Amino acid sequence: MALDGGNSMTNACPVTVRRDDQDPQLAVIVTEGYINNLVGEQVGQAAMALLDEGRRKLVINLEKSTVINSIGISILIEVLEKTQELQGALAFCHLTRTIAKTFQIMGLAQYAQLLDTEDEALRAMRS
Amino acid sequence: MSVTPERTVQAGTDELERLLEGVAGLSEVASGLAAPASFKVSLRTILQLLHETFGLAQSALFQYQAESDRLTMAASLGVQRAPSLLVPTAEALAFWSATGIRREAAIGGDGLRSQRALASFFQANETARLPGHCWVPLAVNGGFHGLLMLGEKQGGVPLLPVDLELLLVIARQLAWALHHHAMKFQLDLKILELSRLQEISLALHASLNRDHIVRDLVPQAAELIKARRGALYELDGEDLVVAAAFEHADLLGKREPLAGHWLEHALRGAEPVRYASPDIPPALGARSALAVAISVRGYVAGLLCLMDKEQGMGLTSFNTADAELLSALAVQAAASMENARLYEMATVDGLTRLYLRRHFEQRLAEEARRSQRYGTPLSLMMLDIDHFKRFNDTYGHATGDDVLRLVAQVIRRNIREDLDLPARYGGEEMLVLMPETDPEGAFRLAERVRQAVETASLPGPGGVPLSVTVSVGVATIPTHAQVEQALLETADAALYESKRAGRNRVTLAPVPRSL
Repeated sequence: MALDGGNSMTNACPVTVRRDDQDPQLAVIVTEGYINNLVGEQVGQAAMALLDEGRRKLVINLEKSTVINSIGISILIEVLEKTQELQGALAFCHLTRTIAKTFQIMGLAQYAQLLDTEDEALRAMRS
Repeated sequence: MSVTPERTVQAGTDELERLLEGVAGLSEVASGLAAPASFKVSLRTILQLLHETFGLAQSALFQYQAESDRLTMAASLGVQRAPSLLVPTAEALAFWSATGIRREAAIGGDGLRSQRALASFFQANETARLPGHCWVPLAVNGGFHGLLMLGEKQGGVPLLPVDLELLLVIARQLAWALHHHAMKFQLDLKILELSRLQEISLALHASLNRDHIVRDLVPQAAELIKARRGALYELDGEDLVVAAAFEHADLLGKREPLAGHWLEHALRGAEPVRYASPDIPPALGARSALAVAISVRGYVAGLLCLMDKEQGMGLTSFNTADAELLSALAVQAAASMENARLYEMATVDGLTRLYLRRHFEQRLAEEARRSQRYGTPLSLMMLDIDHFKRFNDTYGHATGDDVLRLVAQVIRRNIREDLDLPARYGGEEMLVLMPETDPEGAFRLAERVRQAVETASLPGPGGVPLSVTVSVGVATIPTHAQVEQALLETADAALYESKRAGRNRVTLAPVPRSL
């Protein structure tokens, strides 16, 4: 009758990173499932590693994440602040209506771009 | 060169002026800290002024983020490759919160390393590259908000007592600014929580689909209460069955006897129950749980159980506030599930779980109006089970009911959930209304259903598989009809054509010449 709302306990890889071949400053972080403290920390580590290697334009694709708790949001804010500190840019794409509203309330939408698709986010970052 | 009293006075005056200028500048910056947009900029500026005023070589300011329980680098000067974040241990947090901004608390060098409360902090963090001459905990109002780390003055000169006194004044301003910033963040989180609660309530009350309510409730509750996973159990006879699971897919569909179940107490009680690890089955891998019965007027519709409350980067126990929040959510969920149950009873056929004819006709009229208003196609498939009377006559009515259930199940599995409308029209005749579907799309869907019925296996009495087939007629507004009654008649005529042509086939209505 009912469906599982996210990943199982054993999901091994909820965060993947794609480095852009054309733009050495650009990378995409793709999340999967519930962004809580576990997945949030992995997103944070992936973002910090990319910033450390000189990538300053990050896209976080939330297509496969429909639920995010306040700890996950807090970590995304840390990523945003670090990106800003390094004069970089951060964009999110494929947000559910609920997550978009959450980002508005928490002020993330003020400093990061929220776009419908990854293609749009990549275009915005390249321009 | 000899030092005259005049020179000594002049030197003292210069030093005083330097410090006063520093205080004046820092005071201005402190007032700027109140503006959230420039908060981080102001923190960096204040470090810059500290450097200029005291001639510092290195400094770093870490901000404590209560939600993630981490110290994140807010600003640093003169520090090469400083870590972006530090993990405060419980002992260190307690120590810094208790000491506050006092001269005795502003320790550095060997004093830091010998402080027992900070031993675990040094173990957990790489601090070798951080300034260690003087650490000032930024704690006010009983809360710890950050850590100011200072190096020696340029040339390796230690901070003077007068420098330290002034630094503590500035540290208090910094701490209050961080405190206000944290309060603003907590306020935003509270607004978010209330907003989510309102959204969840609206969604629960707006939905008349029990399956959707059950499916969405667990992730919503887990997100709101910061649980790592959860499940919704339903009572089926004397068993508890997992009807929905979040981050615990292995639990879905699991059936266990209620008697002696670890959640039995929560199911039978009116209040939420908090569990600790000894009471939770080890197979669940949870350290804490919070469960509440979902009941209306004494009827228990289910039980919502959340597991592993998150705090910072780790786990903690569910508290009273969590229990109250879950209880409020359960009350709303119970009312919504009851509404959905009553709605279902009034609109759904008990045997086939397809919509009743009366409900179908209402929806058909609505969809026909919508189709005419927006000029979108509206298709209808009408199905009849071939030789149904034979199943009843040969194997009895119980087998006839099994055949009806099988065909209905195949229909539900193959149509578009939440878009197409399946109904039992009477006897062995069934319908599917397909909004925004043209004749070709409707024909493909009908053919898929026909094939799925033909290949579905239904064991008859004695285990002999029964061969079940359906004949189908398909018609579309505006291609074959203009109004709903004509649509029904045209689909019926197409169904008759399928029967006439040998059954087990789909017929698309011919386009009438008059249209």
